[in-house]
Amino acid sequence: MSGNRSVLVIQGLTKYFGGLKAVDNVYMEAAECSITSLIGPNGAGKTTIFNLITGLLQPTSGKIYYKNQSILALPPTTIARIGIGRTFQEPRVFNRLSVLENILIGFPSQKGERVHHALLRTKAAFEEEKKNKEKAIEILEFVGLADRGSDLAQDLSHGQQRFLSVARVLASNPDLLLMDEPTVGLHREEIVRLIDLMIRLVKSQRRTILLVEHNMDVVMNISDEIHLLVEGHGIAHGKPEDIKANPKLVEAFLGTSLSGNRKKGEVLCT
Amino acid sequence: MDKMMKVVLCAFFLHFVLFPTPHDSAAQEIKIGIVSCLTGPAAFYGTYMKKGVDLAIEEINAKGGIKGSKIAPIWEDDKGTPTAAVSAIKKLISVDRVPVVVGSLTATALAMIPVADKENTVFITSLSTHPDIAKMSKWSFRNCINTVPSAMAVVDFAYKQQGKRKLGILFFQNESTRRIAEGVKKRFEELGGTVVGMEMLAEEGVDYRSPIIKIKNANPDSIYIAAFARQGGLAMKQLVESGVNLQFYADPIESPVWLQTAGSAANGAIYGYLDIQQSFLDKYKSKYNEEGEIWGALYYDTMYTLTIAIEKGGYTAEGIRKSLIEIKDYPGITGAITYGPERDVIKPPIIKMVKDGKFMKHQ
Amino acid sequence: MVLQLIVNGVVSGAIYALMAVGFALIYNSTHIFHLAHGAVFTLSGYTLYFVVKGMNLPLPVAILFAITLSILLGIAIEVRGYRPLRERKVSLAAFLISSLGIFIVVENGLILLFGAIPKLITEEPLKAYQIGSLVITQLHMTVILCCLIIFPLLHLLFAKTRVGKMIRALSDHPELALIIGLETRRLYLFITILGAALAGVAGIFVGLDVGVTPIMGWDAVLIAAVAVIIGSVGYLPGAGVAALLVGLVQNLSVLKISAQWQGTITFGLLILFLVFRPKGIFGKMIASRGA
Repeated sequence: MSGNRSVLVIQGLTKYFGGLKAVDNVYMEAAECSITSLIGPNGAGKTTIFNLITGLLQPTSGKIYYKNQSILALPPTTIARIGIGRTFQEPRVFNRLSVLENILIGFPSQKGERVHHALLRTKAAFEEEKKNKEKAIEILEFVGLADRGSDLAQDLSHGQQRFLSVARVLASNPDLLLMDEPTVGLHREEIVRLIDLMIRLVKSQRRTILLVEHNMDVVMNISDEIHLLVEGHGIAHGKPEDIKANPKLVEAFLGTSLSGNRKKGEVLCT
Repeated sequence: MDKMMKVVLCAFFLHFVLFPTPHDSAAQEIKIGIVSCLTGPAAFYGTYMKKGVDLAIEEINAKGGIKGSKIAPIWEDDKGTPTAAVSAIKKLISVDRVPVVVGSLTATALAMIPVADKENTVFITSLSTHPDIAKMSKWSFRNCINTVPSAMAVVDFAYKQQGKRKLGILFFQNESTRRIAEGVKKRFEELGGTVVGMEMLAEEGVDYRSPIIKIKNANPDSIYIAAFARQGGLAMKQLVESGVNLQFYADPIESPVWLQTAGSAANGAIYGYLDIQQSFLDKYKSKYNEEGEIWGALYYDTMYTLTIAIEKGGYTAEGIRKSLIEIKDYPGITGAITYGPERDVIKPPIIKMVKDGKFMKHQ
Repeated sequence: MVLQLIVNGVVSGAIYALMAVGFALIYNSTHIFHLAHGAVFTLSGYTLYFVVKGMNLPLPVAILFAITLSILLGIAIEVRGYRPLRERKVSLAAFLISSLGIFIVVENGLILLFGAIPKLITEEPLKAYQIGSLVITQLHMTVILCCLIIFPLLHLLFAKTRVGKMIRALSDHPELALIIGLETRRLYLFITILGAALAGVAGIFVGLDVGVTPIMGWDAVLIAAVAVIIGSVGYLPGAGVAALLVGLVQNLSVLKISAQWQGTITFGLLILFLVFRPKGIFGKMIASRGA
């Protein structure tokens, strides 16, 4: 812990699918302005935890607090609205909406949200839309897609769609970002840009990231805290150095060796 | 005696209680089986039929019935479907033991006649205009003229009286209307006219504008429509809407549905059919408080001819059949009734027309 | 004659398009094979008939009634029929059966109330105008005019307004729409209302043109479904264009073949597309997800 207060607190989280324990008594916290990573082999329950946090699944038992408030039993829409955003393993975008529209649609509750407002197009809604458009362009610039605004999302490359899906989530201005294997399918150069983006999200935009990632280089480089999960259990957690200090543990469960080389003393979100 | 035996004996006993032999009941009342489309899409025909039949029976029974026995109609609803009609006639013959069954539409009549033929039961309809109905069995009679003679009369009228030379024909996709159309074409060409186009009105359609435009393009001086009430009415309406304001001829359109569908487009249309006596129309009006029409009138006549046949030949199928054939020039309200060699009624059609939304004799 | 057939084709096509676009709107966003669309169409026609003939009220009032009742039925179908199923996450087959059930109930209800006999709303021939050799009725002009207003408005709705974008987003990726916090319930309701209103307009036009029968919805909804497939499932304008195409092909086909085959032609066209261009006319406009 870097001493910051926790944005997300998970206590004794458990989820059974029939007889299968997908998540079993997991405890974890995500500190404000930090990157917390979940690692572990396939089927360790990482994505299930994301689904539990975002309300797509209801836990069998356990507690989830977001900013000291229980978010259990809240519907996914509400959870999205109070500031928890999520990107998926595959880039999820609205294919047949333009890149700009993908962002616009993600802006949270506003005057245009109500169907009749959108239809009547009140002056207030009109001005808000104009403002939103400016904001959307800003976001696109932030993720490096400013020149593709009017293209259909389906015409972007896989990597660009990934950045778009991050941008789309940013539209809702989440304080907590859940990112599910964001580097999958990206080539080296894009991974570098993505890491840069994530660091900027935390550093300059003061957001918190919960990351599920298989690329150990990425994990060891940017995480403030790492949780190792195996078959639904939390096996170990700590700073990258702590995890690295126990390479056998990692190798035993992940089957990969660690070769992270994050600069010593670099602290995110000072 | 075991249980099974008791059940069988009881059933046997009950059978005699519930279904006494026809002779017992014949003494009290004359049962006549009637199978009609009282419900279903053609229910309006069934309704006309029932009104005509009821009016006739009411009158006959009021005058003492047949030799003191009242007529008791047994109505069965076939919904206009052949399968229901077949089970209805089988029930009437085997359970009610009626020697005569009155039928209605072509589709159901075609299904029932073979049953009547096999069971030696008299069958009579006044609604089917299919040319073969009466020919199908020696037991089958018809009290309405089929559409071919009336169509021929209209074609003759068009060519000779109205000087039409270029006829366009629209016909509904159905066996009997197709035959009428073909008959019309043949007759018109024999007379020396030209049939400039012949187009079909699709069974599932309600938008006939395409065939109408094809006909219009062939430049006819008059149009013959061989169709049932709804399709024919729609065709007339759409003809006028498509700018075809010619003389329309049609096969018997004497159904309010045709008028309701065609609206004022039907005004002036010429067709051939039977006349109805004013006395019937008056009685009808006072009983039902609505205008009488041809199908009710035909069934009214049908019930009277059956009464005469039963009085003369007795309440047996063979007796009724024989005396029906013997009827000569019975003065019905739809013209003098004589059943020809093929048991089809012989009545000369007259030329009629639609005027101000009413059916009347052409002047 | 060809010109006249084209005009007639455009008129039938325009009415098909009203049905097809409504059907596509609902199908694209909910994936429900919305047979009950035919029920809305039929109810609209009968409402018009009842208000004009039964209550003797003027036509504009009847039109208002017909559209209102169509929308109410649409809302009922969504709120009472589809929403509970959707929230219980049942299979699409259950929606289809539910939809079919609603259709049959409405159809039989109308038979009970009005009988199976076809009814006419306008008994007089429609007023027609002659332009050269071309004849077009007032009603048909109104149909074309209405479509020239309705479809551009719909285009604006989907291209420019936020609710339009939300609906497109919902159709494109319903799960994601839910995740980003779109009010999907409201959107589904709005879609149903829009679809029902379109079906209502179509029902009014057909009712005024050729009258109403309790079974009129079947043909209408089937042609709509065919148009949606031909026009590429998922692409809304495609359904409209394909409906127009069906109308034109049906009418122009009489040049070569007898009019009795008009119904067959619709499905022949469908089979041709299924064999040679299964993704429809606008197949290219639709990316296959995950590819």
